[in-house]
Amino acid sequence: MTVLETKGLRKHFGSLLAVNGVDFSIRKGELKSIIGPNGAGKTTFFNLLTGMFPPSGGQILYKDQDITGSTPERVAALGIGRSFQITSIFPELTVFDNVYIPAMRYYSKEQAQEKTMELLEEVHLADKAESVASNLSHGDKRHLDIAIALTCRSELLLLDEPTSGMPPEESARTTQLILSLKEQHGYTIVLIEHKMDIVLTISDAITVLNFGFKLAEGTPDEIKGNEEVQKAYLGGLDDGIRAKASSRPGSKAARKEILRLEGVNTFYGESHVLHDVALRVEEGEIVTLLGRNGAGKTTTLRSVLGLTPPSSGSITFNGDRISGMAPQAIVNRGISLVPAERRIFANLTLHENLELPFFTKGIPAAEKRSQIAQAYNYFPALEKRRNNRGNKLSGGEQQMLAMGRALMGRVSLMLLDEPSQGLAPIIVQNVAEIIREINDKGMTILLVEQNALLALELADRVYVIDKGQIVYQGEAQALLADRKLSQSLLGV
Amino acid sequence: MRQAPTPPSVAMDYLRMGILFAVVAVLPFAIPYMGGYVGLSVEMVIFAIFALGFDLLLGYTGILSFGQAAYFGLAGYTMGLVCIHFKVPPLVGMCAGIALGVLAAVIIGLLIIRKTGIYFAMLTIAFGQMFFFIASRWKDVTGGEDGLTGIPRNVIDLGLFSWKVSNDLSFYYFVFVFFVAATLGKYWLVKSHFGQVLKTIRENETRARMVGYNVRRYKLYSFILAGLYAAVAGVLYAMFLRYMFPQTLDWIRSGNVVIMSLVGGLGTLFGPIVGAGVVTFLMNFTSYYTKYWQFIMGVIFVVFILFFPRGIWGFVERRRSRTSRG
Repeated sequence: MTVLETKGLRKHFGSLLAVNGVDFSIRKGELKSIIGPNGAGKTTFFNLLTGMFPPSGGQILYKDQDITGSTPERVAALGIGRSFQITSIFPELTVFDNVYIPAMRYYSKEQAQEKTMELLEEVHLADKAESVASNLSHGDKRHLDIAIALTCRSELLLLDEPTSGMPPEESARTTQLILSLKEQHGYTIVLIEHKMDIVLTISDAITVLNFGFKLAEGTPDEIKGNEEVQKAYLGGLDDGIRAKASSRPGSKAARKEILRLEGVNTFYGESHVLHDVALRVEEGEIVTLLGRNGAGKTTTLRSVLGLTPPSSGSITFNGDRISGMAPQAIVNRGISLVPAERRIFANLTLHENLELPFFTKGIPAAEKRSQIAQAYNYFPALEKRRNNRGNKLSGGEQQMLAMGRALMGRVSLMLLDEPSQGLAPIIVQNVAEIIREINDKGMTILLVEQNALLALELADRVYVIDKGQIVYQGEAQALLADRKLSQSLLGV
Repeated sequence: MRQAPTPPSVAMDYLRMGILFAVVAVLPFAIPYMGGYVGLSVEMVIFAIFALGFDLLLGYTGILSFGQAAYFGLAGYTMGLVCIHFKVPPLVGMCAGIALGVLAAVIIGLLIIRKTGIYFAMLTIAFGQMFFFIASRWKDVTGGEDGLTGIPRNVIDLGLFSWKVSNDLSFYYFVFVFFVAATLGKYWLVKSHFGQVLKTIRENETRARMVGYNVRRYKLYSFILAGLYAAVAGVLYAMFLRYMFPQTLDWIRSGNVVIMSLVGGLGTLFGPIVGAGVVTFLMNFTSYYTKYWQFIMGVIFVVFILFFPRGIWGFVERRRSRTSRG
C-alpha cells in the first residue's frame, strides 16, 4: 500500500527552483532515503510535505488523501512525524515533558505517560527523563528530537539527517534505532542522510535529488552502480586533485616558520584538554591536525587565537610571542579562523556578511571593494547569490562564504575547522579544490578535520592528536601510504 | 518499564499559596511599619492581579505585549461610565467593564496574533495608544485630560448581605477576594494541559506546530486571558481611585507591568506577585522623596536585568534548590 505520494511537486523561492517536479512514493513499512548534494532541495521537500510552506505546484497524497497545502498541525495530526536537521526540541523543559506534552495532544493522561516512557525507553533516554533537555549531549538531543516526532501517533516518519554532527560510534547507535523503528515498530520512514555507509546499508530504496530534480531512484545497489549519480554525488576526490597533490614537492627546504606551539597546556575549567602540545607550521604549507571527536583539535585552534588561552607553554607567530594576547590582537596580526559552525549572520544578505568586517576596521572604501571582489573571485558561485540572506544559503554556500570572509584583510595564516562538516561528498570535493587553490595562491593553512582521507590528500604534513596529546607527526603522503599506521591512528 | 517521574507535590503548592494568602491578608496592617499606607497595599494587590495575567503571556507563552494597559484602562473607564450614566450597581458596572475589556482583547488578538516578535509588540503599542488618544481627546465622554470623576465605591450588594467598601481597608479585602481567585486561576491554568502547551510554544513554536498543536489558537487564548486579568485589575483600580485618567491606558503603564513581571521573575507563580508588590511600593516610596524617582526606578530595573535576570523569585528558587541539594 502506498502511504505517501507526491506528483510533480514544485517549490520556488524567487527565481530559485528549490524543488522541481518531484515524483516520489513510499510503500507501507518501507525505508526510503533521499540523498543529494547540499542545496539539492531535500529539506525543502520535507518542509513541503509537512506544510511548513505551500508548494508552488504539484500534489501531495497521504493514504490517497490530498493533503497539499495543509497546515503543519493538520499534517502532524494525520500521523506524519518529523525530526529536524537542526535539532528542534523544547530546551528548558524536562526530557519527559518534551515528549509528554506533545503526546497529550493524542492520548489521555495515563496513556500519554505510558507512551512517553515507552518512547524514551526506545531512544535510550528513560533514565534521563527528569533532566532539562538543554543539558543533554548533542547525540541525546538528536534522539529526543526523534522521540518528539514519534508522539503524534505517527505511521510515517520523516528523519532529516538524524546522525548529523555525531561521531561514528554514536551514528551507529542512531542507525540501530532507525532500524528498530522500522522493523520492530513498523514505521514507514523517509530518511535524509549524507553518510553513504548508513544509507547504503539500511535503505530499501534511494531517491537522489540534484538541483531540485530527481536524478535517480532505485535500490542501494542500483544507485551505487549508477554512473550519473557517482559523478554528481558519490565520486571521491577527482584525479586532478590527486595528481596535483602527488606532484607537490615532498618538502620545501628552508621555508620560514610562521606558527610554533611549544608545551601548550589548555584547560576548560577543571578539565585538562591539551597536554604539552607542540606543533609548527611553515609558510605556504597546509598542515592538518587529525583526531577523533573530543581529542582537542578545536581547542588547539582556540588556544592559538587566544579564545581559550593556554595556561602554560608558548605560541609564536612570525617569531613574536602571541600567547597571552587578546584574540582581536592576534587576529589583527593576520591569523583568521573559519569555525566549524561557520557563524553566518542569518538575517543579513551574503554581500552584507562580507561587508561586515569593514565596519570596525576603518579601511578605505577602495580597499574594501577590492577585498570583497577578491572573495567573490575565489568563490564565483557566491556572486550569483549575493542578495540572498544567510539563512537561505545551502551548507556549501555557507562554507564558501565563511572562507571568503576569513580571507579578507591581511591574513597570512588561515585556521580551518572541519570545513567538510555536514557537506555532501560533491561539495566536499569543491571545498577541497578551493582549499588547494587558496594554498596555491600563497595562503598558509592549518586544517582540522574528521574526514582524514580528505585532509591527508590536501596536506603537506600531518599531526595526529589523541586525548590532548600529539601522538604522531610526519609527512601526509607517508601516512596516507602506510595503511596499517593510518588504520591504527585514525581508523581509516 | 521504568515509571514516569513523579510530578512535584500538589499539596506543597497549596501550602505555599496558603502562606502567600496569609501574608497578603495581613499586608495592610504591616504596611504602615514599612512607611506605606493602606491605599498603597490596595494598589500593590491590584497590580499583582494585572501582572499575574501578563506573565501568562510573556512568561509562559513567550509573547511580549506593550499594550496591556489598553484593556486595563478600557475596563476601568467602561465601569465608571456605566455606573455614572446608568446608575447601575457597582457589580454590574464591573461586569460591563470586564466584558468590554475582554472583547477588545478578542478583537485585537484576532487581528494581530499572526504577527510575531517585535512586529507583534509594536502592534500592541499602536492599539494601546489608540485607546489612550481616544480617552484624552473625547472630552465629552471621558473627561479628556481632566479624567473621569465620580466613579462610585460605596456598597457592594450581594443579595444575601451587602459589603461596605467605601473605606480603603474594607475595599482591600474586596480586592483580596479577586486576588485569591486570580492566583488560584493562574495556578490551575499553568498546571493544566493548556498551560503546558503554552510552555512548548514559548520554547519552540515551530516544533509545537509540528507535533499537531494549533499554536495560533493557543496564543490567542493566552492573549485573551491576559486581557481578562488586565480588565479585572482595571475595574478594581477605577473603583479604588473613584477616578480614571488617560495615563492608565498609556504604554508607559503597560511597560510598568512588563517591569513588574521581569523584576519578580517570569514564568513563575509567585514572581509577578512579588514583582508587582515591590515595584509599586518602590515607585510610591521613591516618588515621595524625590521628583527624580523615575530615574531611580530605571537604575533599579537595569540592576535587575543585569544581575538577577530571573527576577527576585527566580533568584530565591535557585538559592533554595541549591541549598536543598547541598
